[in-house]
Amino acid sequence: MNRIDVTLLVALKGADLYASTAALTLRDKMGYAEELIGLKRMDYFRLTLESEAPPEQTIENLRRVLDRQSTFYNRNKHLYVLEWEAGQAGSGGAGDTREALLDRWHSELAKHLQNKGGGESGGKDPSDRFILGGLEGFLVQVLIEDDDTSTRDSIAAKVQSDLTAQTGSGDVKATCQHRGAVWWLALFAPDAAGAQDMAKHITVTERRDSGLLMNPNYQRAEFKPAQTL
Amino acid sequence: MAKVVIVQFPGVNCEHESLRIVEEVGLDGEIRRWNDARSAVKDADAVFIPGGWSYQDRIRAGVVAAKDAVADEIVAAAERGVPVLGICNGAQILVEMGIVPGLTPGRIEVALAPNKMEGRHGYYCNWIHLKKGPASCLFTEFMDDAPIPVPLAHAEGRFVTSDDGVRSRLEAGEGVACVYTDTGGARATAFPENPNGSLFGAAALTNPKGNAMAIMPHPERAAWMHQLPRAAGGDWGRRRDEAGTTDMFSAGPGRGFFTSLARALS
Repeated sequence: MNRIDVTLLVALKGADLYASTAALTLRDKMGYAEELIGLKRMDYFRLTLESEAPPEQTIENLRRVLDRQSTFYNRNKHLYVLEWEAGQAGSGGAGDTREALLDRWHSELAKHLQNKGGGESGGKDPSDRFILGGLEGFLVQVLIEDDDTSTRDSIAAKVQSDLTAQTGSGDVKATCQHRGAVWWLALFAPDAAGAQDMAKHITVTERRDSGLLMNPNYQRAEFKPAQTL
Repeated sequence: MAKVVIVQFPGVNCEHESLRIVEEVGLDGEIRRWNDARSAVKDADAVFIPGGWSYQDRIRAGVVAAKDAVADEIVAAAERGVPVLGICNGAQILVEMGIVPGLTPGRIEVALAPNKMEGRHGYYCNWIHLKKGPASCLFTEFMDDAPIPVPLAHAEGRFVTSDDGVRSRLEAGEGVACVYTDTGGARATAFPENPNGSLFGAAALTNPKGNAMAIMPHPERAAWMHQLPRAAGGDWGRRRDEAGTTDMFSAGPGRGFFTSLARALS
């Protein structure tokens, strides 16, 4: 059996009202008007597929299934990044790339800062970095997941039955390891550690006046190290 | 006459039936929008946050409303001992404000998480039974221990905590104002009697003073006999049958929460 680990990120092509509401709440009600450059939200799925077929074939079948249905995304309104890894059997992707999504968002953020009149060089300095009043722009990626795993089981069952129907054989086994939301937080901070701390304060709702994106009583968050925007 | 301020956050859709029951029990009610409610809440004798979908439940049900400026006044009112009631989305807002269970003031000690139901996901709408819980609460003070049928309609109604200390105290009954039951009054342990997988079958939580209550079912939708379906079951189902079509506007099973409030304010 070939084991393939698949990561799927799904983002809206147009305005994301959830992300806009989060940004407005953070800026207008929680005091992050200067520090928050922007944020982006994506659905996140991590699947494992096991099949006798070559990985490329299984991924191609998966892509066909996903493109034809709206279980994960609708091509008319979503962008998606599909990445896969199958150990020595290879790796690859489909749809957009994370880098392309990040580049596009980078340009949107720069435009936003220029419109706002912020940034010492119109949002971006000549070296293509976000600088404001001695603070630098950082990106922190956060994955938020719920405690209830039953929806993951339903997703896996659906993918498995669709792939089986696509291939006409019953040799595909699907499991969903993770399902959640990924937030990209673009923040002005003195350094990477400061950005990481700010991302935690923005994310984890421990008190009414701190944290917005997850309630630790039923959700968990995983933070990737801050990187220069 | 005591004044009850009904705070309407954007997306709330139960403000008028909330006003109707407040007036029915002899109180003076006033609906105020969230951005025009601070001074009214400051002077209110009681505060009522009705159900709906504040801010379209974006990010997480109740969390955006809990960050609004008026929330400062609602938290302060609860701390002063003013009765504060949140129903459904109002309950989610009180939880995200940290008002209930309020064991450590200011901390968000519980969540109202997505329903956990056998064989299904998401939104659930039905009549269930509940009765007053072990915790002393202003809103259940004048209710008896009998189970009552009340409708509920939500996707995120599961009281849950990640704090072992809070969990132990809830398990001991602290803060539990109402519990889901079967028609006979035994505490519900599984779906559908416990309709969302709520911890210890909790349907409502209160704060240590007992003056604030977050309840997921909708007692204001069961305040008159005509709102009750004949299939409600239990003692109230029999009473509804007996009422036929002649006694439709007598008190329904959900009325007790509001008469308790009126008596507390009298």
